[in-house]
Amino acid sequence: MPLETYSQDIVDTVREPLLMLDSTLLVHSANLAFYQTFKVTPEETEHHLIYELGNGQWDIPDLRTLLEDVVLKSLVFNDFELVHTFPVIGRRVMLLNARKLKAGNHGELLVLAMEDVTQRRFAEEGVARAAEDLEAIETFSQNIVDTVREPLLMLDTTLRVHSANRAFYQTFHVSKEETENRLIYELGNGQWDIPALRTLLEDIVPKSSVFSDFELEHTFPIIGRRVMLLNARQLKAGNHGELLVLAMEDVTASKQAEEELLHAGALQSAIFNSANFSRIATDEKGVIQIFNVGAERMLGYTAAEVMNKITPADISDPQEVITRAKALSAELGTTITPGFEALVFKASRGIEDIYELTYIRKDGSRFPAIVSVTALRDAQGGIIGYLLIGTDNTARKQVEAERMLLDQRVRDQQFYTRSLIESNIDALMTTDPRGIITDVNKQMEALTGCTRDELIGAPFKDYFTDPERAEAGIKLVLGEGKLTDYELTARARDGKETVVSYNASIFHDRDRKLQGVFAAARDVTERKRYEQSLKQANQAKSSFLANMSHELRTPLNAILGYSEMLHEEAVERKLDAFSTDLAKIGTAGRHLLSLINDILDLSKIEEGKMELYLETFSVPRLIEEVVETIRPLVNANANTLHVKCPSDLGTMHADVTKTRQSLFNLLSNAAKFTDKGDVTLEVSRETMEDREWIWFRVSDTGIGLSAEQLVKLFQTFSQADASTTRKFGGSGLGLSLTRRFCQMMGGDVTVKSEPGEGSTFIIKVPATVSDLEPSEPEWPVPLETPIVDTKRAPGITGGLPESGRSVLVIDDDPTQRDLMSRFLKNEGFTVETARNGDEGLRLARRLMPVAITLDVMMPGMDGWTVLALLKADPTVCNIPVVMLTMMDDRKRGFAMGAANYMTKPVDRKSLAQILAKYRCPNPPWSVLVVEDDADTRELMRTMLERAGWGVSEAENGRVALERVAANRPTLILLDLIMPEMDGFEFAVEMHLSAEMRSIPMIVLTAKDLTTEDLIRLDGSVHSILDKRGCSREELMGQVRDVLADWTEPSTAKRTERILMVDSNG
Amino acid sequence: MAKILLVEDNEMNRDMLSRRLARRGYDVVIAVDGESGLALASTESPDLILMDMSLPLLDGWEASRRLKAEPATQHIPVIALTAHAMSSDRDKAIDAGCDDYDTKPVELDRLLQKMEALLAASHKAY
Repeated sequence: MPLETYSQDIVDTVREPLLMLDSTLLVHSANLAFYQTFKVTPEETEHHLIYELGNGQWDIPDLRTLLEDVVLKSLVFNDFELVHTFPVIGRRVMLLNARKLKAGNHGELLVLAMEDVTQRRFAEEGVARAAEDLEAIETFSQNIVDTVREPLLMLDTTLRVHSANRAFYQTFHVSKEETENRLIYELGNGQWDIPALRTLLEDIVPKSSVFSDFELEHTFPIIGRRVMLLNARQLKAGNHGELLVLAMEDVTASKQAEEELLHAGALQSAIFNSANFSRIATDEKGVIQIFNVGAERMLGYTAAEVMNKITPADISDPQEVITRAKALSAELGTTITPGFEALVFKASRGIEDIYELTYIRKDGSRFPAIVSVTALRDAQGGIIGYLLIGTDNTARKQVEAERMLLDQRVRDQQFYTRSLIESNIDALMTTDPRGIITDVNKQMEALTGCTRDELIGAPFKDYFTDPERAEAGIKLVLGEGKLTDYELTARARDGKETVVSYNASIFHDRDRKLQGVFAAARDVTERKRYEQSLKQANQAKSSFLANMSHELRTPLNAILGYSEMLHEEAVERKLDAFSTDLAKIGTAGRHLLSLINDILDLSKIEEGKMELYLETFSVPRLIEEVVETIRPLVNANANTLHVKCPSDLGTMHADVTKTRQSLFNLLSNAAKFTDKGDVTLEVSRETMEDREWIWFRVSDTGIGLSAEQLVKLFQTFSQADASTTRKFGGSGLGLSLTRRFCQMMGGDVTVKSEPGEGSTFIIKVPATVSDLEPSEPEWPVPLETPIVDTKRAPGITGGLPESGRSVLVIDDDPTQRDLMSRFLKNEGFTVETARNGDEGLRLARRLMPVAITLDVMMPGMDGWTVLALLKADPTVCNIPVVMLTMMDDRKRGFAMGAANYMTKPVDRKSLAQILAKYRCPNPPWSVLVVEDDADTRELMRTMLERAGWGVSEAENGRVALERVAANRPTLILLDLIMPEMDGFEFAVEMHLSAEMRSIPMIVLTAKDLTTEDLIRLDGSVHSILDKRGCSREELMGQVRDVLADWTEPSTAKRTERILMVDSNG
Repeated sequence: MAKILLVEDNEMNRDMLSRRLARRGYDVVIAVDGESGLALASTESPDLILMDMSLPLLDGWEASRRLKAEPATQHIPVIALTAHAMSSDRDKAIDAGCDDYDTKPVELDRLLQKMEALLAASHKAY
């Protein structure tokens, strides 16, 4: 025990006998003086009761009193005089002084100092010195205790070592002998001869009795470089005079740490000043001590605003702090308060902690950060604060949010796709290119009676009655990219057979790699049954109408004849009352006859049996007749009939019955729908296109027609509305027949009308109708339409341009080739003929005709093969092919991609109608295609250009407006959903412009149009094509049809209102 | 006054047309089928024959053909009458040798025009 040894050494230096007693009055130790004075040994003394010492020589009643009574009550007693005769040393007068000392782990010691005052001379001084010594010891000891852990050196005033403690010897690896009584500078071969120490001891110490923390850095030979912190105190040490206690603290390690800290400090400060991280250091309570530039920048507070004021929890999302506290409480099984503790709890437990935290900026906005929390500790490991390093998490959050959104959209899309597949009423499946099923929907399961698992992986063809045909279907799809209306009969597991019609297309992955076939089957069993019964019903109807009409006509013939005869006789006999009534019977009979005739005519037209009966007749006479017939009807509604017919108008060569009937229809309508107004019939001879025409203009001042009514006007059995029939009577066939008749004669009927403004119908018929007039001559025909500017309208100019009118006829029969060629030339086409399939294919590629007629029955390569080869060649696959065959194999024709189909002998008028669709107007109209999908645009351009149209393109509404302004198109094909400016906006812009409003627009859209959408488009768009579920070719077909309608002379579809064109129609 | 042979099987039509022609001053002889029509054509030597096409025993086309094949009657103009207003009917009638054609129900004025035209022509030929 260094203290004990050390204290003992000090105690030994005292000349007076000293006894150290413990609280039980056992001698702890004694000093040399004691032993010398009393001539006893330490063995006789230590650990003996004081009273037993020296054979009981210290068993002194006075001493007992002193120790047992006085000392217990008072810590100190002085000058207790003890007179005792000691056996060895004789009678002595002893002055006892005692004091209690704390002596480290020895507990309390009682120091008993004895002064032999026998020698009175020394009495006063001795007592005093003893007292001083005691005090010194006390202080000394106290100081020892104060500095005891460190190496200690006791120096006298000459700087010689009085003593050193054990720590000293241990630290410096020296022995006591090498140390004591040596000059400090000589210690350890002069290792303490340090200039700084000399300065301290020789300059500083004499001037000040105490100095603290003098730092001494020195490289010691044995222990190496050390940094010592010196503390010194001057002591009075009794008769030892003054001693200098030098306490040394080895701070090398902490100094090193400090230096490292200093070094690190530079880095730290650099990091702290980095603006890319927010660094917030707090004290152990969380109060912010450091708030770096990054934190200022990210959080909007200045350091001054937060330092020593708030904790990081105060600028964090409170909800997150609460949530974190809850989570941590649960995780760690201890209650953590929602506040700063929640932010640093893990770090305070030495757990690495990095987490997301949303700071609230000064302006209240949120700042997502990733925060790393570290506890700051002092050298002893005690927590002195926390460091929160935050990095901006905004970008990552955004990326995460976007990815989540994207993931969600992918999931939504997948769900959506799956829903679409499952909710489809058709049986859907996908197969790989070999025809192995890869996916099916529930309807497919129902169709086959097999489960999804059974179906997937099985060959598609196995589920059909005709597997070869099923397989051929897959091959057709793979070859052509798509297939429509391909009929197959599915056979379910239970044997149930279902006739289905397949639409299929190939599909690719994102890299355009062929994935397989997507096929939708619709159950057409019902439809086929329905179609069959419809066909039968229609035949029955036509036949019934024809028979019925004939049967009705015979008795009516008699009624009319007899009434006419009686009327003549009554007139002759001047029986005026009779003649008036008989005339009425005649009128009613004729009306009935006309209705019957209409029905008969209609059935004839439907059966294609209506023919022209051409003869030359006087037009004024015809007008007289008609007026005579119609006058009673006009007068019935108190209308006035005005007739303007020059008497020198001459004759015309036409079907007089049909002309008369047409006129009668128009006039009777005018009379019916006009009340107390004027009905005017005006006839004129006009010359157009080097041809003479007779115009019959019937106008009234009646109720007029709305645009919607105009659309349906010429349709069979369609009066403006059902109530019209009830109110005005009539079969609803009149206008339809009128139009048909006029067209059969190479003319047409047109209408102009506004509701409430009356109507004007004009029949235009060539003055000389030729037998070869087409039944519905789209070309050339004079036009007058409500909305198309006649100046731009086709029809009255010269021949067709070379492009856009050539038709290729492929037929092995020379007679057929000759007939077709003559007929088609007459129709305004240029015609090339081919004798066989090879020649046909060659000519098709060279000529790029607008259409091909293809005979099926040909020796060598038959028509089907030619068709397949045409469809397989991308350069010619879009040319419409009209199949001509003896047998009705329509389905096969359409399945293989034929545009149309006719049975031989060919109805030339029907063929003319079909081919007219593929022909462009003259001069070529310009079409603006507004469509954002480049592929679709290209497809339309190719198709339209081949048909002879002039095509310009725009990828959105804005570009389209520029195109329209630069070069006004005749027609616009408009997609609705486009970037920048969509079709709705474009339509509105167009409608707002007085100049552009009249350009007809045809909308092509996949959008499910709402009533609102229709309202938005109303008034500016003329047709709407639904392109959903259409293959491109179907779509092109529809566009072709609509365009064909536009080039038709009929005004029926050219209205200012929306005309819905059904995608199936 | 011109003598007209009307060959018509339908009683009402026959009666009506014959009376109306008589009222216009024609001398009307009546036959009710093709065979009696042929016989009367020979015996009565009419100036013009109005021939319905759908007749019992011998139809109008065949009757006309025979009339035109017989030198004694081939000069007599024949107007075919039919309810079937088809040009094919007309063509068939013309092919059978008929001189003109009209549809039923008869428009008397138009029929009279055609009759007068043929009567005038055959009168000139004599």
